[in-house]
Amino acid sequence: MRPTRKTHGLPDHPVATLGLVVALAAMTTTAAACQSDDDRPASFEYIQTAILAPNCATIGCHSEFAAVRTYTFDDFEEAYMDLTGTPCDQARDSDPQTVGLVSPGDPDSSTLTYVLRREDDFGPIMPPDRPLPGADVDLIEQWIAEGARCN
Amino acid sequence: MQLMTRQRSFTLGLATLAIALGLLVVSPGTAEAYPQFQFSTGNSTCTPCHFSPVGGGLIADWGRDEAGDSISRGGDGRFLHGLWVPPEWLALGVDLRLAGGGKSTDAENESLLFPMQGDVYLRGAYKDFSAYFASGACCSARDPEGDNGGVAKFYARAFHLMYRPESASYYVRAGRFYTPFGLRHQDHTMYVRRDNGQYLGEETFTLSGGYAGSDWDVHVGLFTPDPLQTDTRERSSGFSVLYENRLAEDNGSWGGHLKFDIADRNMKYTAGAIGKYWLASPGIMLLAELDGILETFDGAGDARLQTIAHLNATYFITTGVMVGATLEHFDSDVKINSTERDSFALTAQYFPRAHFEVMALARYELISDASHAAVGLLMLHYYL
Repeated sequence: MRPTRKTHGLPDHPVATLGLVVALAAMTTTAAACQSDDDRPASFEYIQTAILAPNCATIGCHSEFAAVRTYTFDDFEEAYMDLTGTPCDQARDSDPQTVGLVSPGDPDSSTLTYVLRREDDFGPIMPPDRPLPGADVDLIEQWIAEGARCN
Repeated sequence: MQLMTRQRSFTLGLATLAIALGLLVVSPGTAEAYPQFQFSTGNSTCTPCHFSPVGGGLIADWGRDEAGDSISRGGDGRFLHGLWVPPEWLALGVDLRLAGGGKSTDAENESLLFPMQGDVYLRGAYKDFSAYFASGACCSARDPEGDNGGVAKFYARAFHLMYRPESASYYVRAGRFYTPFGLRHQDHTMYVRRDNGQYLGEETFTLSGGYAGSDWDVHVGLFTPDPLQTDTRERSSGFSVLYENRLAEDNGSWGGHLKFDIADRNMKYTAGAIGKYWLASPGIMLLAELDGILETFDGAGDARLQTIAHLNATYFITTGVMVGATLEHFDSDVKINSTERDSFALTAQYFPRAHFEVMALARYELISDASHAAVGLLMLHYYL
């Protein structure tokens, strides 16, 4: 026997609720038409917090839990060290050395740029389950071009 | 040399695809709810089928009966198919999954087949108190070149102690679990989970309480990162409120939720609405969610507004065969060009007998109008 319940006098809003969702989605699309150029800071603090951690540090990938290929991007200091091969406190005022996934000042020769864009057929694009939007990759490239500082 | 490089890259590609597909389906099968079954199976609340007051986790006796009677094409949904009946105070469960599939992006096409989940659930009850534990397996298909090896890792994914008087509708529980929020789909790759802090491994240490009545639910939660398993993913603390009001005809509900997260370098303010509606004729279940997330950064740039929209429709062609379609939109910064993504997914789920599920998924994702990712997946799921 199924559980039973009393009815009540609250308003019946199913279509209104679903319609609201659709309407708000349409508003989102409309808002997209008012989008501006990318004025986000090309700083590592922003990139790690807003792009790398939510997209790359999933539990099965570059989190502390899995640390695939030993890279962890969920911690600011570790992420910077893994990407540049330089401790953050040594790179605040000077360019890091090129021993990591990025070549400071040269996004075109950086491994990080290569795996994010993956414009050939040598292995999967990163993140493999959900590639980054173009604006996010552009911002990362800008950070590399500006010296890949720990800023 | 070039051939070796290509072979190495191909191997690496397959291994990485394994990770990708693993992420798609290392989802707890019965560990999370199928919200499509609310209303469509005649139950207006989560509690008849789940021990958890907000759904998900181990299914209760009623849910096991439903698995055989309403959802699948027969069979005995009880633990061990009814061969052994645990004492009333004890509930056990196991989840096993095997998956295969393929993926296509602008740069590659790949395919793979592999085992991916083996979870164990345990619940004990004494009077109005209960204790629950669920193991979690992750990353069974790991990059073999990684220095951390290539084996599965296990973690205590969910556990809690709960006080819920049998004669009352309120409860209090504390432990590791997702704070009550949103539609709570079983698929963690959906935007409403992935981009809302409910991805795999993001369960928090949570103190939650609420009222789950026949007409409405309200659930509040206080959460903080798990201090025992510091390598899992969740990093923020905060609180959440979820309210859901069922319609007078018991064929749907509407509700809203709020969440506040604070982490080392950012804060998030999330507000959203959910809607559920069961169209008895022709038998279509509709689920919708819309969220707005205002995220602020500590000295690292202006705040950004994110939006998530979700619309899901499922239809039981006949008993044991459910097909569905999902549309999702996520914009990680509404004021910036080329930060949005849209997803369209088709699913077909076949429940031949209680305990068995075959699921096919096809998902096409358009990323900022410039690139795409397509995934096809076939998953075999057995739960004990």
